Amino acid sequence: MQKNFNDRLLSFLSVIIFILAWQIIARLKIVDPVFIGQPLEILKESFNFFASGEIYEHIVASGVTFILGFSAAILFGVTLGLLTGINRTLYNIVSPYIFAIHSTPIVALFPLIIIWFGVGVKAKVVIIFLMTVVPILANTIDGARSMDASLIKMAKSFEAGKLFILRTIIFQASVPYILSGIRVATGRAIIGLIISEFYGYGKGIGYLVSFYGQTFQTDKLMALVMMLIIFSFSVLKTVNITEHRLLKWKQPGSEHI
Amino acid sequence: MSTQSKRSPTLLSLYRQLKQLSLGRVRKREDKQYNIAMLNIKNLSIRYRSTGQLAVKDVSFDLGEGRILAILGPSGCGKTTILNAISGLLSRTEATMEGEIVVENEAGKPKMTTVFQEPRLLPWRTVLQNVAYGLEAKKESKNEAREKSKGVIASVQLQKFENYYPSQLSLGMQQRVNLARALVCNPDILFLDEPFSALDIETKANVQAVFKKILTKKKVTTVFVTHNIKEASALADQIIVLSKGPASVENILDKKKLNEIPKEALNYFESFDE
Repeated sequence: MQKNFNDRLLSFLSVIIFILAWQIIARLKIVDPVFIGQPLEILKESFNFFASGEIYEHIVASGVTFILGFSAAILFGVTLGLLTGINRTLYNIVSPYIFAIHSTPIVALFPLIIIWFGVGVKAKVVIIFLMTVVPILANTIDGARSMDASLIKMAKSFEAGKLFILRTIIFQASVPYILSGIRVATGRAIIGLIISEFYGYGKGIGYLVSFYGQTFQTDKLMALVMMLIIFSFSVLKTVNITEHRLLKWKQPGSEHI
Repeated sequence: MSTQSKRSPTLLSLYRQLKQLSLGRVRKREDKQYNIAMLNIKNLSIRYRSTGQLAVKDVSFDLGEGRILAILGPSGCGKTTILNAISGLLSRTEATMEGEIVVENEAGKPKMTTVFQEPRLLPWRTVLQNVAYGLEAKKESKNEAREKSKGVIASVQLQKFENYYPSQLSLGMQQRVNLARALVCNPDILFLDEPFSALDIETKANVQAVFKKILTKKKVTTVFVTHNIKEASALADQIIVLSKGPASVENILDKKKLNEIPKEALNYFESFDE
């Protein structure tokens, strides 16, 4: 759906009115600002985080954990997913684990994972990996399995090698599935990151969230939550831009819907 | 099956008429120009493993270099099975084969490429990238493959559409891309599996003309499967008529004789095109 100027204006006004109402309610102490924070204070605290330089080491720590865990999940999920999708034996071997991990509340395993991997980066990476690998893996398998077998016959008629077929047909056909898996995984990755940092040692955005939450510094807590929203939003935006580039052939204008 | 029995008396008499025109089983070709047989099929029988069904029964024919052979027969009679057996797309796990298939030229094993009934283009590749696909599969560098492809795309009159995606093209155009993708590999033998059957009448004539022009100009040895005798006679030098499954050779017609096919026979074969 293309948004025109009026649509945009309405969305913008909605947000502005919400923030104004929030500010007024907190200012007039209709609800105590300790519970909900104040938009202006939140903005101020956000600036302070960066001005004092306090936030940087936490951003770096969280960023590294996030990138390591998430990219490991993408790499592993896509590779295993493609192979599983085209090989029946492998599919039968792998599929029970997919269902098992998918049904496991990974959060319940956190204490164990910390015992196995320690309180450092390793455990956090493992948690993010476990939280995100399943949607990516399952979607990739779906993509590879649903592909059009006649295209593979076509490739074989040109004596294409197996790896070439995997790269140029099976992977390409799975890209839309992989991207939607990554989109679902993004939200889970951020949840995994924050919760794992609750348990971890004194670094990372999640650690700060838990610290300011326990000490009732609501404005700072809210400032961090805002940052997380912006971060999550930009990851999703990146996925969308990538999708737009990779799936040019599927865009409106062609006959696909 | 009731239509079958209704037809059969006329069928017999038609075959009798056709027989008078036919060359019978193909012997070593006499005209010198096409002395070298590229393709030699001897007593080929094929049985599908899954159903145990005999799809092809004792089929023999040969094909000279640079010639176009049409395999004509009703839908489902096993034409495509013969084609896949020759091109190697029919795997031994799918079917058992008896008899001999010899594909040979001076260089040894000739290059073979198939043009399928549906275009089977990769939707995420542009026309240019699709045509280059076969070359890339054969490990040619991307740039070289694209350079070569451009020439062939021009020959199927699609130079303005190089950067279009398949979904932006009509079916007739897609089928021309399909042909270009096969031709760019410079095949010694080209297999066409009912390449016009999915097209509407107007597009069909147009695409056929493009195919005919290129195939005769490039002198590509071609085996062409169809159930439409008009298509066959428009394109081929030689036509093999197969019986209803299991496929066996009913007749082999040479181009010269095609004009003499009685009208009723043509109409009968037209009825294959349902």
